[in-house]
Amino acid sequence: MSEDEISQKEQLARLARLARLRVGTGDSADFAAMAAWFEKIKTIDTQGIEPMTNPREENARLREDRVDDGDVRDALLANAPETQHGFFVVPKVIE
Amino acid sequence: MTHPCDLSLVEMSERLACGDLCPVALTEEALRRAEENKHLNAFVTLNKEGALEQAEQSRKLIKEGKMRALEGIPLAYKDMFCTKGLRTTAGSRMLENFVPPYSAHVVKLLEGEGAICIGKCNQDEFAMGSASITGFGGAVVNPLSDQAGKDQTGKDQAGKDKAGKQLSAGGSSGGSAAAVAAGIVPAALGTDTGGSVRQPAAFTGCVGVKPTYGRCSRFGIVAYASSLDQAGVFARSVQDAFAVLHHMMGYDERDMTSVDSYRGEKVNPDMNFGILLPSLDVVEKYPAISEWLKGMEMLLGKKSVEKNMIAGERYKTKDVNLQNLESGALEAYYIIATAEASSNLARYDGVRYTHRSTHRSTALKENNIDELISGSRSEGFGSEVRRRILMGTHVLSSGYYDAIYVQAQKMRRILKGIFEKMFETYDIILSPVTPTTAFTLEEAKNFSPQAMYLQDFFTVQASLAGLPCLSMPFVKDANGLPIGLQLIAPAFQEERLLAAASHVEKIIGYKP
Amino acid sequence: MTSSLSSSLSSSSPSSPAASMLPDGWEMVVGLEVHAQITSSSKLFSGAATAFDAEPNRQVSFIDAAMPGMLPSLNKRCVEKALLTAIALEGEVNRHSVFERKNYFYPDLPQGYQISQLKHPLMQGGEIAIALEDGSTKKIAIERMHMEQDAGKSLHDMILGKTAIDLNRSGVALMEIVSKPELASPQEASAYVAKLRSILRAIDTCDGNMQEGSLRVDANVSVRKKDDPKLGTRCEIKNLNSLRFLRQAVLFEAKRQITLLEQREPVLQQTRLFDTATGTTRNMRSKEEAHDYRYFPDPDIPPLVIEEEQLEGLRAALPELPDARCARLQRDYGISASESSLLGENATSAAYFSTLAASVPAKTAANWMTSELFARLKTHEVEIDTIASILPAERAVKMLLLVEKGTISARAAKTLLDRMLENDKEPAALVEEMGLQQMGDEKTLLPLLQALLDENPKQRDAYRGGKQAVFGWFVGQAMQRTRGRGDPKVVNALLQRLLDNEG
Repeated sequence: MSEDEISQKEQLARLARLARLRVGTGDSADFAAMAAWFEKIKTIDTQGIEPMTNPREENARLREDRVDDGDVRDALLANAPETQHGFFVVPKVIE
Repeated sequence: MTHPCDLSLVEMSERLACGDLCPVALTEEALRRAEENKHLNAFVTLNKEGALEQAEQSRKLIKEGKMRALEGIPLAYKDMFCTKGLRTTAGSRMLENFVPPYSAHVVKLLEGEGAICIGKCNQDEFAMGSASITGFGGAVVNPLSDQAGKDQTGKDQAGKDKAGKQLSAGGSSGGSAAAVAAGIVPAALGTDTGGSVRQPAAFTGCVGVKPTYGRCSRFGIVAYASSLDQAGVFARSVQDAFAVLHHMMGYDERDMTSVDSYRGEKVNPDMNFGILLPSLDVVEKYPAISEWLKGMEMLLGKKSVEKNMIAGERYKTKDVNLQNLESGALEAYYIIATAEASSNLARYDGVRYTHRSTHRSTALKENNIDELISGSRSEGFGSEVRRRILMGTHVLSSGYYDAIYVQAQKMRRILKGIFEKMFETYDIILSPVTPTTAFTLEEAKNFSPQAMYLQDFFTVQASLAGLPCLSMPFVKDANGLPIGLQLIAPAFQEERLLAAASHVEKIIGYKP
Repeated sequence: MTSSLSSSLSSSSPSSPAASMLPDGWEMVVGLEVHAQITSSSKLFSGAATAFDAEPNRQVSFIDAAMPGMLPSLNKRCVEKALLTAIALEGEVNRHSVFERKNYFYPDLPQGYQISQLKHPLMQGGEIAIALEDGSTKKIAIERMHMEQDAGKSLHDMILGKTAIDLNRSGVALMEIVSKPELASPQEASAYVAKLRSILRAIDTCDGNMQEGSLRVDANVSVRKKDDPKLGTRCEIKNLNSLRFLRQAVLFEAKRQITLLEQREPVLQQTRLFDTATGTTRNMRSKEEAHDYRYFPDPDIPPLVIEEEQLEGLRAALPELPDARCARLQRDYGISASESSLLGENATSAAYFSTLAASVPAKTAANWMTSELFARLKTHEVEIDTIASILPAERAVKMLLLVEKGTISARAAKTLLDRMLENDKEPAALVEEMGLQQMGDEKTLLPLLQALLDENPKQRDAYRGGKQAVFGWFVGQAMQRTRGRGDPKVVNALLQRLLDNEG
């Protein structure tokens, strides 16, 4: 494998870890192709332009501080794969 | 005599009001048609009992003279819209058994006007796709599939290459489009992030509308790309589509990106149409675009088309760099959409309400909890979703964030500026919707990821700029398949969009 | 109902002595990140309740549980309180502030990201003045303050082999206040947190309850040789929830690092946890890998724009801050600067003092509080905030009045105080019970003192012969005979009279 290919593989492994996904054998080529495609955005001249996160850039409208939600535990837990005594349960997390 | 189910929504409503039509019968018919058209695979979940209950309720209210705006009208919702008590899957195994304890805001609004929910429509998984083939329930089949290659009289036309083959209804809201095109429901909801309502509308010969970003609350809609997602409507006419959309718009305090209803200006009846066409080499590459252009010339006259053409080659000013509308827009869209998706889909982790992996490896390379999360996500998500999450993670990761992601966000502002410039001269922008007409399911399965992304070539721009737009059936290709016409209006000018589209609809006189 | 002091006692030893705890030539550098829960009825981005100690998952909305399609909605009061805090900390408010997503996976982080702020935090700069042990003031600079969501709770020991998750705390509003690395000792660190806490309480933006977790501290500790301008590698100690643990953890960590460096081993940059049982810090396994949080502006939340009007309104409504309170006490009650600094630091002690000073002379109240009361609270490691349940002001007033009237001596008052801290009885009743009444009655004292003189002719004659010092011995003996209850003035006068009388 070329140096590029190795670093791509490492990058993909890193990303998979960050995204908690397992990568298959086919994913490498796909990733490389898309990553290369995305590089094209660098060719656009964006000097002096501010990034735009959302079309709605007006000031945020705030909500009154009121308890009008929550206390829906049964509904909350209804779709859970595993619960006990009102808690969500997962395999033990080692700190 | 037109069957009631094939009436326009507006006419349906009138008949219901005067008692000519019974809402229960109407809903029963819609459900029957859904069953009959099972082969289209348009639905993930049918709401038989619920719909009949709602219809019964409508019947009572109409009798009591308490009829609401959409009383008794059967609708279908893409499976991205949470519906309380009714399974909502987003087309994914991850949510295969998820029953939401809440409904999306827009669903509540429509049901508050008496609309009936017939069922949840099939789609591409998590709205990622342009063919509706990645949903765990399988591919959606375009209702026009058996019409391909035949003209009105049933005689085979020239160019039978698609005859007898199953066609894609487009994506990602293919199921909703199919439900409307097949006459199951008069209108259906989809979501449009980069073209996912407009493109299926074009493929199936329906009208598909996407409002200004922020017009409809996104609360309760499974999020794909937060700054791009908008609820949209499929219908068989412009009037019907807007009749539904009207009741979906409005500020919702639970969605900070939503805005108040009426900010539109008075509509100028004498509208100026600008025509947005890509460079000639693109036009020549795609036959459907040539057909589209011919259609434009017939509609507006060749001179007018030439005069109002905002094309890369023929209209160059230093202020409007059209180049970016072609190259750059598509990349910017996928960079931003995948970035937001990678974060929005992080909540699907096997812990609280999703599919959970039960497989435990004996050799514990991962911490138990990481194994559970990775396993659940790798099992629950299909390959396209996993691909986009990885790409989104990539563009946000250190070393790439500024060069790629922020750059894409800047591109977005440039695009917004380009449209603002165009709207200084033109009231409405016209463009093609898709490079091709409906491709076959076979072709779709063999598309490379990038070939599929190219489907969004004409639609991502209005999404990035957050503008209201729609697709309407325009002309047909050699196979008799519909080619769509896109109309784009300035932000918050839905009234203008409606007026322009109605006008064009009349002139075109499209016959399915 | 009040609780006695004994029930508030903690079992460990008194706090460590000050300064010079590190090996010669070394110094520590500490920066603190304080997470303060904002006092609001509902959460930062949802309408679920924030009250402490509710049943698991009862204060959780679908938004907090990050269910499909859920969106954040920003709480107005949380923003106001954060702004008020920025003003009180003398920081610069960022008028255009942005919320960003910090992306990582953890079971008690339902969204898979925390909504926080990075590039455009609500406040930048600011400072807190702390009192050092020598009485001088040191100003500690603040780096920044931003708003963010709290995470849920993972309970690892509740169910065998499993972790139980409670999302009640998930989404509660936090202010993260980051200091510059300018703290030089465990005491300074503790003083900084105590001061910050008293400011937050004074303006009612955080209740500062460390046991309940409304105020948590992460300490960044590094060491270096004195006079070395460079900073050493730092380690972060997470989630310290008491001032005592903060001091212990910081000291242990500094020593640990010095030991490594003296052995020519490097200090590895780590995230560590303080084990309260052993008093040591240990590496957190889960934080070993470098995180790429991929911060990006949250597309669901438009920018937060703060208008000047709003800031002006908040400035005008700013409650009295601790430093101002201390100055006021000094001015209004004529007490010393050091007394006012001790009494005014905390709103509770200031109020307590004011109550006492309404009935007894201010000087008496101040002196008694700072020398008698505070000393005992310190010995038992109890905070002044609980004083109302241990020794209500009204009872303290009654006791002080007994001294003023001469019913008991100042010495007896100390004994009385110790007993009063242990039970709820009224001081008058206890005085009876313990027989602490001062003896000031001549009729009772005279025979007693006469007997004393008669039983000690040698000393009597020595005094009468000119040895003045023997008078002191007689006073001591008289006190013994009266079991400390003799009124010193009267005893002195009578003794003088008897001794001078020659008869």
